[in-house]
Amino acid sequence: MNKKIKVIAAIIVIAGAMFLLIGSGLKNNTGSYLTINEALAVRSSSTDKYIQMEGNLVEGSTKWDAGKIELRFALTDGENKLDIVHNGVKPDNFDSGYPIIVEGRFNSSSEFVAENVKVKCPSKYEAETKEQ
Amino acid sequence: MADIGYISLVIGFILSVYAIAGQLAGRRLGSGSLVKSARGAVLATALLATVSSLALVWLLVTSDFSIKYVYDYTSTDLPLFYKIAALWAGNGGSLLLWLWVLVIYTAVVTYADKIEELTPYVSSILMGNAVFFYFILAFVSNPFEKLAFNPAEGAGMNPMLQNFGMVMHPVTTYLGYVGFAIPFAFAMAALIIKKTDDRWIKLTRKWTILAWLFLTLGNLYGAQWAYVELGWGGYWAWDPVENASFMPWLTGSAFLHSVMIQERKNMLKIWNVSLITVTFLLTLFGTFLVRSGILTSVHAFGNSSLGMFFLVFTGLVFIASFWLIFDRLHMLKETREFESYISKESSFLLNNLILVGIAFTTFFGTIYPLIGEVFTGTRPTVSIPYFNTVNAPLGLLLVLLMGICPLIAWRKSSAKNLRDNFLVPLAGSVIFAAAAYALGLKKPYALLAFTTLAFVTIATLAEFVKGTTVRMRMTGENPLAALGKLMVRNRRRYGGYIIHLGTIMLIAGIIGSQTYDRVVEKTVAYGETIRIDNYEITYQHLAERRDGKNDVVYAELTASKDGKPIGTLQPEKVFYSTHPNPSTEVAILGGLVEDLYVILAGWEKDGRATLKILVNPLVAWMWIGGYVMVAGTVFALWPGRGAEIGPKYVRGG
Repeated sequence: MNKKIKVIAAIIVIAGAMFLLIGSGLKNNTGSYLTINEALAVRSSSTDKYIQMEGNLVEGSTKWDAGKIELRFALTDGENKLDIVHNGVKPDNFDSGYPIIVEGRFNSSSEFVAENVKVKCPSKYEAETKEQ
Repeated sequence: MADIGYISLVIGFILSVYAIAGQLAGRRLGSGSLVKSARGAVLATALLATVSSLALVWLLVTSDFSIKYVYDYTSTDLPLFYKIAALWAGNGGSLLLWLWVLVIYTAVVTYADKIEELTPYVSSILMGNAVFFYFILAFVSNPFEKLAFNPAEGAGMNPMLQNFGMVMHPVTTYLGYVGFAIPFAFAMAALIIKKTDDRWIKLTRKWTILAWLFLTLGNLYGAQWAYVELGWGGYWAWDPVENASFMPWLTGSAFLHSVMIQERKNMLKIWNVSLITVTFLLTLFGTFLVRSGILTSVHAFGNSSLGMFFLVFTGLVFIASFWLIFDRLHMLKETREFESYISKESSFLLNNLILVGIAFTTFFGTIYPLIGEVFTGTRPTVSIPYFNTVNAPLGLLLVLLMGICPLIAWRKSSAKNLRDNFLVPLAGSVIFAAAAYALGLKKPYALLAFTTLAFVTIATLAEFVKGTTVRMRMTGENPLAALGKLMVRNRRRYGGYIIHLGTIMLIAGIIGSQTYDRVVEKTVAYGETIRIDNYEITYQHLAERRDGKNDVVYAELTASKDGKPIGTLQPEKVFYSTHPNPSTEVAILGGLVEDLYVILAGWEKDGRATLKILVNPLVAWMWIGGYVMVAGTVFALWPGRGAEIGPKYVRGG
């Protein structure tokens, strides 16, 4: 019986360590999924917060600076518009009308700096369009 | 043809219900003829699913665009190869493939009839799954749906799907997913007829290992496909869809190990039954995640009502199976205890806890956005570093155990036993660490990880050496003959070690590419050179060519390493005739040490091109490791003498 208790104690210790790992992992690596409207409301107050958003590309808003590798564009939810800057290249299917997912933070001048820009491809299951 | 396919589905649905009712009633009433006729129905459902699948393939191959599915996923100029692969390009077709595999498996299990009293229940449980899939296909996501008009040309297959991965990844993943239904069905059937010994484990061992192998391959082919096709330089992004097939793989791996404890020591009965149930549930839950679109994923989803059906079905299976386990709990009570914590059994238990732990942290991270939304109103997101920071230490611990476990004896290890077995691997890994550090492996995490791998490699190889020398002493054979016979006579054990060596290669690939990857993005003019480490890549010019109906724009690059030319690269953008936007085709100059991976991101009117260049170390070892794992599995499963399990290690037993 004594051994059984020790085994159970060991399991509890391991499980506890695992929960600590999960806790610290979540603390440092979570953000919020916001609508463009919500993001506009918080943009000056939450400069360090990691935000994920989805929207449609505003037609004609794309500006690509090849020398600096800088992509600027605007996303819209139909009503509101938000300017995005991405220090990277355009993903495939970027301007084909599919919704675009951006992940990143607002900088001090209230610009949204996207670390990742991905395209969501809605019509085909398993059509993975992943780019970073 | 479409009508034949659809009617087959409807009849299949009815017959699968009959197959369950007939087998269960026949068994209860003791009517052999009823059971026999119901078994005929099982066979019939397998044939009907075959007819239905072939009908869809026929429609795809003949480009009958009046069928919505054919229109959605193919076009006339698509190579035959991909027309056939389009069978699993969309929701309906891929579920049909799933059903097809499931009913064939079921027919095989039903007619193999290993234990007469068990088979009707096993068969009925599997048929229960088939009923669900037949229902979905016939009434929710019908792949034979017709269009109101008859288009001359189809919408074409998404360019991303036109890759060899499209053939390997879905098929292997499904073979794995569906395969886990078999041990699950046997476990439940054994509980129903109250036979709680380990016969169900022995009977399904091959099924389990094959399912595990296919799922391993499915994940690997998925990673490889992402790596060569998606053009972002990586192979895994902890996307919900990826996690969906990773979680059952983890619990399935745990199950493969923990059943050995039950076979040898009659322990962990409740754990094993629960583990296979959870594995099976995770395959269903994963499908729910993939098909429902409930989580934000870049993978696309079609019919969202489909997700609800899967959720409800998963819920029903969950309730039914755990109710059954709970009800039979008294029969699964442990008769034995751990005799020591420094024993093989306890290291197996620890391995299980970690595998399940990784599955749990992954599960938690995947569904956290849903939980968070319920409690806070806004939906939180979990980013990739969460999965890496939580799972990497757990994974490393798991790898370490993989090395320690073979060194520890069953029941209880003596101090001498430990000293003898650990000396060489420990000394070897210390030497390895010092040498690696001196050669420039300075990142602490990478050094720790590779040293762990070295320890495990030495420990595993030492097992081969030890067994061979013992055999040489006993039989006087030469080393090669002794090694060969040793392995052949203990196929299960050495097959397992080969799989472990493959896993080490795979993990070396992961660690190498995660810790020492380098990337540079630059826009260059003709003749300009980009430097990345000791590589020099010179942009010669931009060119265009025609490839069938598609236009291809590519950059001509020459690469050199340490001043010596190593070849040319042609990263492309392909403009498919059926697709408005170009898609990226990366160029990879690969080797055993590292891959030079180049993406043509775009170009300007003046001829300048924007290139993204990555150096990914050791990636090739992931794929090599995968094939070594296949070899080990085949070796372990090969029938004949030596494939049976070792003796029981039970005190007084």
